[in-house]
Amino acid sequence: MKSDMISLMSHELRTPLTSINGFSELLAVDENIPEESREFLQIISNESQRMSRMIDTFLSVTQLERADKKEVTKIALRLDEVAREAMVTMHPTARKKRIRLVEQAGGTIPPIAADKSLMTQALMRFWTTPSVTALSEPP
Amino acid sequence: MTVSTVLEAEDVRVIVEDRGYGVPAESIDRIWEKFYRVARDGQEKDEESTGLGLAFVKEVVEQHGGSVAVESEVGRGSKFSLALPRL
Repeated sequence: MKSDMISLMSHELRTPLTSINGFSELLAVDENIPEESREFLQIISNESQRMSRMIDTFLSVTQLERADKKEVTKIALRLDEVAREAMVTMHPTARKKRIRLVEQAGGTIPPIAADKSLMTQALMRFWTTPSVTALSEPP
Repeated sequence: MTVSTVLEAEDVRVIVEDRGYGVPAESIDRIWEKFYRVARDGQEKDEESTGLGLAFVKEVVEQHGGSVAVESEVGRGSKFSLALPRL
């Protein structure tokens, strides 16, 4: 599939999803809704949010795949510093998922050439992607 | 789950390590694929997962000339890492 078609489709899919999610959340706070229906609404809301996340990530992957390597702005970055900053940004999630940053004692980490925003996003997804963290609960 | 950054001969490596369920052997080669989600011994696949997070990580890392790796043993845990060439 052409990538501009994918972008277009992603945007088209997102609009109705926003309504589905918004209205299901609105209904869920209505006191006249019976308990069982409220559960169903929660499912509708969770699943539409998951679908939005899926579209967002799919779009990012597609954009990356077609991006010319020259389009990526690489600067000298220290990965341990990017990791520390990313951890601060996602602090509540990091705490919930019990992610702990291990600092290297001594020995400086040399820089790499990377796009800061992409690398930050990649690290955050690396830590929170449920296929990693769901598997990291104690057996 | 711990996150650490280490220096290797040519690369800087970020390691994410846990002592969790581990990834079943049949899934380990497919874990970076788009839309692939791991099922835990006959259980439902993870409900929250989009199946795209690790595919995104791999794409970014490879675009920067790096590589991703995973080692895992069921019942003992997993070690995911990404390596990027040092300057």
